[in-house]
Amino acid sequence: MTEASSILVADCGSTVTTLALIERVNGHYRLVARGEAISTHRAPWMDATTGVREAIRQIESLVGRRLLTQDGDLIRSKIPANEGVDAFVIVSSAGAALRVVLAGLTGSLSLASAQSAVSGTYALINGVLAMDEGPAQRDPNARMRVLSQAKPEVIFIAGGTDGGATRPVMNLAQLVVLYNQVLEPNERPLTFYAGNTHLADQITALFADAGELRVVANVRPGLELENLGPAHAELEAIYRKRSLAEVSGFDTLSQWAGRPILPTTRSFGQLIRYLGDRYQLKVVGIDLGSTSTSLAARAGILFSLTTRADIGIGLSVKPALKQIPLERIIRWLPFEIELAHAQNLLLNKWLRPASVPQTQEELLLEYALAREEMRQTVAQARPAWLQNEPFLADQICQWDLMIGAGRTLTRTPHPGHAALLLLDALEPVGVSQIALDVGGIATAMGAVAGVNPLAATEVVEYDAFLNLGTVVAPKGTARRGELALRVKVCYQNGGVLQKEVAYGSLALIPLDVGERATLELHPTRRFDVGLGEPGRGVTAEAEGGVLGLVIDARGRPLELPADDVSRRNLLQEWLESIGIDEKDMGSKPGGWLHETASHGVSELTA
Amino acid sequence: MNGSIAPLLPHTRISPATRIRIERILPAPGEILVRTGEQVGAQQKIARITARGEIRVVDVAQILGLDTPNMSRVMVKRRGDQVKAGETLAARRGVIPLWHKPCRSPIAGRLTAIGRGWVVIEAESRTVDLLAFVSGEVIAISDQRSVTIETLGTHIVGTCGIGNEAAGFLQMPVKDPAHTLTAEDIELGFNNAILVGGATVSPEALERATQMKVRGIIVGSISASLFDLVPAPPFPIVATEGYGYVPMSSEVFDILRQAEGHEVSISGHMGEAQHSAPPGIIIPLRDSQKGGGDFSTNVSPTQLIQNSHHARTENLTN
Repeated sequence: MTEASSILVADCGSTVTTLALIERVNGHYRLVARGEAISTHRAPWMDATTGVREAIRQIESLVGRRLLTQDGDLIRSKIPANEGVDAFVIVSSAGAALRVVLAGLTGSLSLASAQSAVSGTYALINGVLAMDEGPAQRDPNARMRVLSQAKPEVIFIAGGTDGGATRPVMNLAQLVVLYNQVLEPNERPLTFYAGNTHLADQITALFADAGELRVVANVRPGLELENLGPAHAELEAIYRKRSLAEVSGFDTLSQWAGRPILPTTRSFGQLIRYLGDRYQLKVVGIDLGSTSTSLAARAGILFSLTTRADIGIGLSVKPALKQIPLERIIRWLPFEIELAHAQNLLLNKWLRPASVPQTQEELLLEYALAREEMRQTVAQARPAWLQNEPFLADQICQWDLMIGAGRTLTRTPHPGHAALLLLDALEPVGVSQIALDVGGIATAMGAVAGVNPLAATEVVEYDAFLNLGTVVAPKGTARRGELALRVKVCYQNGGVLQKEVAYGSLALIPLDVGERATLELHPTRRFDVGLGEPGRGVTAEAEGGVLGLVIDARGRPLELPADDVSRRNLLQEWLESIGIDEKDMGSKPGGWLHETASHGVSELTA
Repeated sequence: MNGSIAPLLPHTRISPATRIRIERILPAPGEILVRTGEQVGAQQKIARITARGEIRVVDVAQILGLDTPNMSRVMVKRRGDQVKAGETLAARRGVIPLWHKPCRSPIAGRLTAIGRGWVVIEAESRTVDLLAFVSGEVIAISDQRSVTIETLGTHIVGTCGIGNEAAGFLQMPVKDPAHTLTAEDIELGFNNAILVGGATVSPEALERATQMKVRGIIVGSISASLFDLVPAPPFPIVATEGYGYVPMSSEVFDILRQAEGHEVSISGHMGEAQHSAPPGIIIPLRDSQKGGGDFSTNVSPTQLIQNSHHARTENLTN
């Protein structure tokens, strides 16, 4: 088969559709053009192809050649007329999330593993049946109510290590069978059994004539052992079949592609895994979308993918507000705001998910919500990180590379906003790089690798990311204002800069894009720069980015003052420290990208 | 690359002179009460469905003290049987009557499932009627599941709302789209009316409207704090602009002013499903406005609205 030299990539999000054209330029695959349109699978269009065609037409006008026929179909052969593309790859998060009820024995073991398995794809956990709940919740009528209200498409039963508990697992399965028997056959949910393998035959017999059952490998075969892969794969297949395939217009797009549409979260996870493996880095990435938030991490043998289909900055604002108290959101604001007013502003974002903030108030409120959403996702993922890599417990937040994706993170009016959002969410320790998926297409690179691995590799290396710079973040706490870190920056041109950074503050040190420097870091006795030993100094290499070198001496864990006035003053100080002033608040989203020279996508696209 | 998105603008929010088709969908097959070609009123029942009753699980094994969940030995009733409240579902028979032990049904209903030690009783079902919602002509009936009603009129797409559906005659207590509807604006005689506020509605006005048995309110914007009102207003509220304090657009306000005294149908339901209809206002034309049948040549493209929310039908039947 001839290698595809011209690849059209589509990321059909729930709110925005992004397309990119990857082609060989001077022997390398480069991202040569991109287009964006509103996603049109919803009312009033009810056809995803409308938005995709619009974005393709933008690309046509940029590259000066036809990609669509007069009838609006994708031209799939570039030869001989020099029209069309060789391959078309689609990822999407536009399908409705699967409604899932989890049933298991204990919240910290089988149910935690079940949740991890489910969070590998777009799913909403609408109910949980746990055997370690209180007597009121264990009442079968209460459980039946949980099922009736949740109306699950999928019931995921876990519980019992292999050869372990039997009776409580059978009781859970029995409850599900009873629930199914009450329903009409066509209303019954699909049940996954991923518990004690020794019970598989009995469970299968129980479900005879009582709904569809799929037995998959136990997600928790041993107390210290987790096996999520098989369950994850099955759930993703169900999501593709039941949700993605049902999106209006996706049948046409699938035909154009000649291959299935991949869930964006899966593709994003593949990208993070690839980056970690290829460059031997500890990598974490957050894709903050309109409907969902994905967090992928790769560190050594750890790979974790956490997808929250109920939090995002757009269509999921309303469900997010049901989970995150408004008080927690507005604590990130450097000004006072009434709760009701904040709620109204956020709900207007939910009504108009593609809108951009018009005022400083709206902008910072949106970012405040983004912080809490990402922190909640990190909190969900962290136990899995520690469980899979316990030896990393003290160092787990030492990421070599942090990647931000999604329009909220990549279209900020100032790059400092993006950096602060990621730092506040991930609270990294040590020395890390921060990069943004400014092209809005890196999330699809996992899928592109399935068609042309070299193309995915080269686009990732050349075009996909914008390096914001290096961050140094010591761990520890002290009295505010007390010295936390002395930094000596030895530039390549022989210049030297020394700076003392106090606890509770942020500092920016100039380091141009692509410029390297050697850092001598001398933390004071209460602070650790990632060596596991407070006060111990270290030398590290740093590369500059759009922001330069960021010293985040706000401490770990990051704590905000309880006093409202002090907290607001401090938040304002941090904004100013990272270079954001009033003027930037009202700037055009992503406007700074125009000013960024010699960086991938921004110089390649109009 | 500047963060702007291609201008595929959403559909027109106001569709005057439009042939509007409303597909009223039952959540499951039911009984259709109208015929194709029939003229229906907004409050007319057009379909009926038997809604599932409460489900109760009875732990027979625990009540009877069974060691093994072999239910066949103890069951008195069979799956599918109708039972009365207090009627024996299962019983343990001892050698002497002292050891006899019955397990009785906590509710009247049907025995729908028998499992390992448990049985399920489904309470008697109840009938729920689906109302037409708008006045018009029935043009299609599908598989005992849906009735499509066509009407000529104006469709205004709302942005948000609360509550379900209502139909009634439109009244304009305010004269300015920036005015907040207050309790003082709601006069005697507004019972069964759909009221138009300007920018928003005060909590006191909602209380007054409830007392006056107002059927619904249309405003520019609503505060999210309305969601927390206990009890919730017993009528739908439709906001045309959004949350907070936003005056109603003058175009919408003018259309509503022209429709004062006309019958309107409003839906405040915010569907969670991808394809559910947003909140909105439908103002059917009166026969005198249709110009003796010539109107149909001037109408805008047909708009199809699918209303598939069963919950809203329940309120309308109250």
